[in-house]
Amino acid sequence: MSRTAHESHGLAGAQLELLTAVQDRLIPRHDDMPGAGELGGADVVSGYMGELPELHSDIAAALDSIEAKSKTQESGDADLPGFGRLEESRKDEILREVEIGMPREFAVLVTQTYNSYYTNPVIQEILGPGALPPQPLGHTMPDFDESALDDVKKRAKTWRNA
Amino acid sequence: MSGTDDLADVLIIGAGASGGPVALTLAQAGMNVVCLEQGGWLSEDEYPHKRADWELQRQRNFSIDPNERSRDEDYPLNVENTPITPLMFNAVGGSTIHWSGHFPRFRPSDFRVKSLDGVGDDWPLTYWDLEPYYERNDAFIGVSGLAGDPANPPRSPRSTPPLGLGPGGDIYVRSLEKLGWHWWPSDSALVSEPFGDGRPACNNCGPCDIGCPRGSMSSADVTYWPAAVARGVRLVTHARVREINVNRAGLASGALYFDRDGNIHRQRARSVVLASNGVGTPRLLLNSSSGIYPDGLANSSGLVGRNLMFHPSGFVTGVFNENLQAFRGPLGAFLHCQEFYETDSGRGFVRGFQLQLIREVGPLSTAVGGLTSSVVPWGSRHHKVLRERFSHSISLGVMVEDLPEPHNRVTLDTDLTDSDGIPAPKIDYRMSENSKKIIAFGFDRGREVFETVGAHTVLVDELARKSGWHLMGTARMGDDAATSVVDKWGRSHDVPNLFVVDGSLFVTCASINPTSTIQALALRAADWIVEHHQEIPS
Repeated sequence: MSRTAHESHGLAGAQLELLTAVQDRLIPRHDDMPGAGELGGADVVSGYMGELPELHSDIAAALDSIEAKSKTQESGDADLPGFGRLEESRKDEILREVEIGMPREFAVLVTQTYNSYYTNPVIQEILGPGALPPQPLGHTMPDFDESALDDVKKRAKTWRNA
Repeated sequence: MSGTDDLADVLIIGAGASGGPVALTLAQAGMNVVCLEQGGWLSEDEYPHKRADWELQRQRNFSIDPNERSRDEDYPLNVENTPITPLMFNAVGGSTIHWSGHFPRFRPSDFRVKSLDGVGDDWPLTYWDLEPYYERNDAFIGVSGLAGDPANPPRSPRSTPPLGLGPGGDIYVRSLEKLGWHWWPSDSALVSEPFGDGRPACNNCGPCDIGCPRGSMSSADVTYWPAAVARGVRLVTHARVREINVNRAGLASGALYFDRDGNIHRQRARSVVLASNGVGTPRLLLNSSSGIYPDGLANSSGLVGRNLMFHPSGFVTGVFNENLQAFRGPLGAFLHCQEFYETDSGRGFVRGFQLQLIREVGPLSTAVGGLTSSVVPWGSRHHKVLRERFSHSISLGVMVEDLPEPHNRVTLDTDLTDSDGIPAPKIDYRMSENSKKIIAFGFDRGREVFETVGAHTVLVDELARKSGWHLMGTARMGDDAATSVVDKWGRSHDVPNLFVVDGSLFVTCASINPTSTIQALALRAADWIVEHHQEIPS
């Protein structure tokens, strides 16, 4: 059986866990809004990577850098637990370091996390009408009130004939 | 290669905004018309508006940027040497599939830029030559709006009433009234009441830039093309033209094209009409070089591909405390300000700009930067900033009149090709000092609009890279074969049975959206072909 694109270019196992932890710092839980990781965003982004293989190298590079810095920051021992077990403030410091050091790759990671989050129906329901699929219902609008133009109509013509 | 015995009276290349009016007009006159279109028909179900990932499609399958979108029917563009990326859509309907439907007419002065302001060139026709075609086009496709704008020549009552303003529009009106500046509801190619053959009124869903699945937008795929096909036009989709053929006399004789499986075909024709946009048309002319025309077809002037004009544009977004819900209503085509349209020597530049008032994108597009590329920060501030902006923002576009400059051009890339191996276009463009001055002045005015009505934050993107919606000037019209590619009817000076009808024709570009003018020019060219086709050599 041939491998699907998803299997070829998506994430698995520890990488998915790491991405979940990273996403929960990129869009953390706040009030009624769940975190991006807890909402299952890592699976969604992994799916994007399967559909668009060009995403894979950037996201994988950003994650590798995050994990490497996590282990180094923890104790210098590469065998110790990584990013997911750090204090939240330490996680954010690491993410800022990667953002500065690998701006393009990190931006891809952020964008795809946002994509996964705001296309989630749970988030769309919380945010309301402007977030929900715009069709088939559309939106209601008042009709145009021509009396608003009363002052404009008094202006002299401003176009030049030629 | 497979050929066809079908000898068309006219072969049209491109089923977009300009090809449609020509196809219908010629078919109504009883002519045998074939059109080759590299894309296909889009069905209602293909649009993303009913899906949870609708906003994501702005970055994917419905991106305005063909390099980002990369559908099979798209061709790549080399944009390394331009700050502005050409935008387009390849399908029946062309780039009207993803436009805002803003549908202004040029003003009379726009056709006399050299005479009035000493820059650019004059057109070989006037506004008044074109006016009946503007009228005919508006009436056919369905344009909402209101006649009587003191900033523009009179026109007949619009097909349907103006689109509603809503809270997002009301705040603009408050500001512009306070400033004493012009404003008027836009002529919009978007019907506010049922129109024509079963087209429903717009239901204000918002994201016109990813298309209109309802058919309320007057895009060419729901206006001209169904009518043209019903009149007998043979529209061949997924047909990508490699080159225009010429006979021994140097006249156009048809075209070679690839079908979607990569098989090559020949379509013969007595005349050929190019309707492939301001990048696609010069690309095809340059790709049609031959022993007779070694520098490309119709290019004895050397001007094919030169004088490329965009409308350099930037965006200003005002963020307000009030919940505007400006996602209600069409994104772009509802209100305009032409206070700074004509030349005023006191401003330090010639020509001018339009402020095009825009509503609001959804939360995902807001998060990834909105119209001003202002990405909502990640981390603990994310939700706060997103909530501040989403549903609390409106934007305006500063759309600048570009001037024709020969160094701004479309050429063929020596390495990059499309999936059929056809050389891709390469864009070389730099913005003029005049345009830079206009845009800087325009941004100050944009800030003023929002500060006047109490925006707590103003975000700006002074030159949007993805602002090459309008592709113009690359096969300009004129009376002199040494300084233009086609005549005032769009007919090639070099090849008398070859016509251009798209934005390539433009001599200058005004500071407003061009599609209304493109379609009026196309109708005018079509009438000429109908009247003179017996005399056109083939």
